[in-house]
Amino acid sequence: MKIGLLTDSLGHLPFTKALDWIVDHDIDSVEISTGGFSPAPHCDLNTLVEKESARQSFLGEIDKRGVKLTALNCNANMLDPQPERRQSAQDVLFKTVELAPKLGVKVIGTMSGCPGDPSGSPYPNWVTFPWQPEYIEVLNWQWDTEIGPFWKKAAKHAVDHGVKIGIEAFPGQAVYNTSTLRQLREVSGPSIGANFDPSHLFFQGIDPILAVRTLGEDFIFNVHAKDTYVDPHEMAVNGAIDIRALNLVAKRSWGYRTLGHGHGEVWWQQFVGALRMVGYNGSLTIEHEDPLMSSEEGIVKSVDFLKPVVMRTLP
Amino acid sequence: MKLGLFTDSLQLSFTELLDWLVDHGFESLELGTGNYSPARHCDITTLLSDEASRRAFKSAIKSRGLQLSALNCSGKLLDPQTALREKSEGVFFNTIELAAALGIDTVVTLAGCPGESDGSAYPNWVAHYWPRESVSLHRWQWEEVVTPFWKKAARFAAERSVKIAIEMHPAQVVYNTRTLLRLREIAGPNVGANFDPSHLFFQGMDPIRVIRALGPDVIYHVHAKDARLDPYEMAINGGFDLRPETLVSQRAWAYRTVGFGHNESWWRDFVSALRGVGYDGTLSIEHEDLLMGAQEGIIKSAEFLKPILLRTLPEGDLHWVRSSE
Repeated sequence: MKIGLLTDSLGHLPFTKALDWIVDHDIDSVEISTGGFSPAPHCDLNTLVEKESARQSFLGEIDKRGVKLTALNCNANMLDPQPERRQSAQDVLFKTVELAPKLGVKVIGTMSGCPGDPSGSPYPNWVTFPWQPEYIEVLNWQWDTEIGPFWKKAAKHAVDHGVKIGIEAFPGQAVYNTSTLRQLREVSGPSIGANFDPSHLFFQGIDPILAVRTLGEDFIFNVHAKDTYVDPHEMAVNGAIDIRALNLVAKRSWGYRTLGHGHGEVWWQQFVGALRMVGYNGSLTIEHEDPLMSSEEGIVKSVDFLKPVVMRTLP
Repeated sequence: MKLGLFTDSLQLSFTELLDWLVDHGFESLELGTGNYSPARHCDITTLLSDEASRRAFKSAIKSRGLQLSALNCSGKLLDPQTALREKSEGVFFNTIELAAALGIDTVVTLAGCPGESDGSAYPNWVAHYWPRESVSLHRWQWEEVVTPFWKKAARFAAERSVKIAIEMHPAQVVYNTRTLLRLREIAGPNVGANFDPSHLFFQGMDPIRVIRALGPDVIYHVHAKDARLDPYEMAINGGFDLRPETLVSQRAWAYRTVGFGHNESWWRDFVSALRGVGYDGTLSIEHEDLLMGAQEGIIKSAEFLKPILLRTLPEGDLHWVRSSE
């Protein structure tokens, strides 16, 4: 296992400065965003797809510092009900799939997407409680007409390019827990797996360690190391469904935090152990989204936290 | 406090129902008037239009020593489909009229869930702040749909001295403490809670804390329904379970008969918390347990609750309490 960084968290630094910072802070690998929700601070997707010379200098900067490029990330709403936004999200994914083998990258991280409804609503409709028959209609339509066909096509594109796609189970998206991850894989095949980020699971009541064991071998293609603090008092009063802004940390029932600031070392040791049990030996890629401290401080604290926890050798 | 029943689950005629309730030690009943309710025991049209029917209806209840605790008309109040919404609103406003005509002060309902525009076909329950457009949709729903309707509805009810008890319920705009208090702030003090703990557990709430957070004068009615969370399935898949309710043995949580989700000690805390905020009304059993028949579930719930309900208030002379200065 290696300690990695999703370089969006160093978006304030230009590419080479970010790489220098990464080396200086004992980070072994990087995951780089190509677009979608990300402003893609370190990757010009179109240029890299088109120009061999651009790829050579991009990879050259990474290689000469001894850093490993483990994954490309293009989180976006692949099934956005607004046609232009959907097209742009899907274009980024398909291009990212084409770019990956040209950079020697085997894994892409993204999200499943969330469609609207059969009537052509411009808003995504995340179904979480299909009690009214209307919601069951929406849910079935989403999987049969939108999610299934798109991900079959995307999975084939990935297979054609020798790439695997790790889906981040994420609230507000069709795939948000273990069973929806498995459902998507069943529909689209073994090139679709998980980009496992425990931070989206805690508030749903999920134990990420059990989720790792349930997904089992050959399912987890990439891991994001991000923590979540669940406030027991606010949770007891208002529950997990909290649509307030993420920076309202003091009010929210849960929030994204730096590693160790949500769960202690023992929890992360067990998490790493569970990953090893299912054969995952890739990077733990730190993603900084803690609204209580700067990204550089959050990353340094996370790296220092992970160093003794990550398992580097096999028996 | 009184032992009550939300009677929808009993397929008996009205008078058979009343006799059954007396035989099983019930003191009050809550009747469904329509919408989601099949309204087995309440013909709202006849009762509204015919004074003699109302008299007979009331006397059938009263002569058996029973009380009517509330009318229930949970439906699709803010549904984006005009026909569905108008039908629900019609039943709702008629139910308020009927409550006033019968001299009952509480109507139970759900808050409703709008879609994404006036003409959209499907409701859209915003349960996460991402993607970002969900937040603007949520703002639009509250400002343009929830607020105007509930201001109007609360005024209509207030003019008839009726209180509206909203059941915090997933897939509705009011689903937790914060959203209930927000609606009350908008609509006024005759909009409060029909407190049903069974919808809160899977969201991660502790209903006892919720009662204390709501405080005095907010809870107008209570449903006694339990829910069981399966710890193993919760740990794998969490509370957002898309499987049909009938798949009890697979789901992360399910509605259960009182005592089959939480034990006696929990329910003692629950009634104590209710008493603590001054609630002294009915605990209305609602049977939605898919593992046993309605009569069995209701009887088991009633027998469970009988020793737990707090029936008396402390005497006036509390010599062991430090007197307030």
